[in-house]
Amino acid sequence: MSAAEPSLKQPTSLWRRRYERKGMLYVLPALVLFAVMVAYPIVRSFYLSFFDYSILEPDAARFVGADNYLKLLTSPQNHRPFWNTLYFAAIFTPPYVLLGLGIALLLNRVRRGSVALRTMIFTPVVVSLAVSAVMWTLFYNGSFGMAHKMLEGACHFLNFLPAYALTCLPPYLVIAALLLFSLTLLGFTFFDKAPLRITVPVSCLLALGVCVNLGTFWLHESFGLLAAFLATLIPKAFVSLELVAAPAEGVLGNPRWAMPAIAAMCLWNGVGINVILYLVGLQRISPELYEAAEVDGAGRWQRFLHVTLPQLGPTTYLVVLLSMIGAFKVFGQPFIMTGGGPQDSTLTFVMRLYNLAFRYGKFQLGYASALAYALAVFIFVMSLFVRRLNRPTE
Amino acid sequence: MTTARRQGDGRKRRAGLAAFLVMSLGAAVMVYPYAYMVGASLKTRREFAADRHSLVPPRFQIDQRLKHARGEPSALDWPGADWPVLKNYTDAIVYGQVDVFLFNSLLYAVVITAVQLAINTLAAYAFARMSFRGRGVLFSLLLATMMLPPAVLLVPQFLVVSGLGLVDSFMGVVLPGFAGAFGVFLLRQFFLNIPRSLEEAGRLDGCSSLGVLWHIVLPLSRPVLVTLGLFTFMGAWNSFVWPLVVLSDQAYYPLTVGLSLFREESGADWPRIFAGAVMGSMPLILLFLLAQRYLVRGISLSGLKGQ
Repeated sequence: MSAAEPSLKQPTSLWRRRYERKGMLYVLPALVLFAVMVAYPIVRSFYLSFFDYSILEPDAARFVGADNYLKLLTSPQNHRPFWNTLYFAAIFTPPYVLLGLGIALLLNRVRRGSVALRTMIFTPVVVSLAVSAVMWTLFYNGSFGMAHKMLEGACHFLNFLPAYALTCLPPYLVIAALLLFSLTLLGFTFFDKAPLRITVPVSCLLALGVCVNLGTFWLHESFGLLAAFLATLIPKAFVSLELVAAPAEGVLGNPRWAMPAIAAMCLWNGVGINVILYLVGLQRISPELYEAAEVDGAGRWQRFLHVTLPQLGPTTYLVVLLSMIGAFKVFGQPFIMTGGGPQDSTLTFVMRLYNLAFRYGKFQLGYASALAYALAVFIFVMSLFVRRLNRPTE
Repeated sequence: MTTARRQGDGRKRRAGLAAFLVMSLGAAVMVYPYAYMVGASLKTRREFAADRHSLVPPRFQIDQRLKHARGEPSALDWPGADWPVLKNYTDAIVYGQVDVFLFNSLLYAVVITAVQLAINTLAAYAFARMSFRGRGVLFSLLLATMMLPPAVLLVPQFLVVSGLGLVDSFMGVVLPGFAGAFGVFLLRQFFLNIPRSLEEAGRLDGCSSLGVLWHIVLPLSRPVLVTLGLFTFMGAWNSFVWPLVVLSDQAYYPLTVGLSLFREESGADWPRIFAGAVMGSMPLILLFLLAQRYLVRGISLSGLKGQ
């Protein structure tokens, strides 16, 4: 920092003093606002967290020491929101980061039209949460929602999975083969020998054909002979996903699936940010590194493992940190879509804080402040943890 | 040699094409909900009840038009088919006050963005180029607060705002939005990368420091200013919790809060809700389309990255 301004050290003291005062002047507006709206509230919040304070009777505030913190740890009403938030972070963060990376990698390869695609992928980030949440509530609607219909289809497929597994090539093998096939199309070379390069895709296609045939004809629900036979062996509704149990409310009305549904919506809503961050990271990798790796005889996969991933280290750190913090303070989506229900299954930590402070009619601001600080400490600890994980890659 | 290169080139092109196809599918998934929303907002209630999944309202579908022309019963005979195309939109304005919410949101977002850009530019320039007492300490303090989750600030900010007597007022909504450490950080990183010689040349030509900032630094910083402006505007437009806490008078509601209210009031009148939602999201989409070409450049030039 100090090396950047040798020229400022040179002028006469009068000039420098004027300049100094001006510097302060420039910073002043930001600083005043910052002091009033950020610094003071932080201190005030910490102070309040040791009081039993309600805005309805500010004079009746009394010092209770660490009672709020004890209450917050021991009260079973806080445990559910805490675990809910942790659950949300666990199912949301990994796909959020990986999807961002995957899309950015693919977008980086696209030669024409990448700007248009990037724009389209970023659009959900731009559109306000209130709009997206309302829209997804409709999609999840149990009687006609589109996402609900697709989920039903998935359930149906899962129900038939054991049937596939018993009769033909396990479908997940086929899916893996398909993935390999598309990767070879993308130019990854797993198979450097010419015959393999032809036989693998062809066998993939053949396997797909066999599967489709079995699936549509032999395993058909109503006339498939094999299916009729298997139906006697396999208990029905092997995977029911409990969707049928609450047809009117759909997944959002189902305590077990409401949170994953909200996570899926958040994934769609925010993945554009990670894509942009990763794109910037990818553009920063110098092409010489790839050329050097190529000279050393590294294949596509090796170049990805030994050049791209390590070079993306700092970006990944940033992305993981931002995603995690975002996950821990999730509030708006569940608030609009479910309001914390059904049976408190989507009640997050920040929502509990909000309820305590502004909703339950008691305005327990002291207690809510303690909750806020607990969250801050938790996020801080988690970010230390992420930083520690990040260290060996650097 | 040449054939090998051509082969490699061909493979690269094929890879690019495959990536394009996969990504187009992904992009379609991302954008489909909006296309659906726009389509649904043009349907009448009857149409929405009969046909929930089509993107085009039945009365505009070609086969329905043909049926109608042949004199067969079609969607054009359904009640409401002769309504104005934008009936749901006018309804959303008349019954849901969506225009008021829209105006409020626009006002909040524009004011917050303008003030933040002005204040943060000054502060960031001072942090990047001027030396004054306590500069390092102040800057690290600023950075440290970026790590705090906003939930910590919710309660005490409310106390400050209510202490100032600003609950349920325009200023009460905007004031916390003015303070942003991220903007100072982003701009400072960018300013540090501008060659110092340019500014010294301006100073030799007799510019004041404000003049240097205005005539030399700012024109060079357009990508980062647009990026920061876009992010600030987005944040202000999408803010939900704070307005919810500080406002109780519906006349001040921004769109985010207003729309959830409108939704509760409208029951299952989805086309009308969607019309409100379309109106609420269009300004931001337009702004983003205008600003997006600066986005990647703005982030990448300012050196925003982890540690």
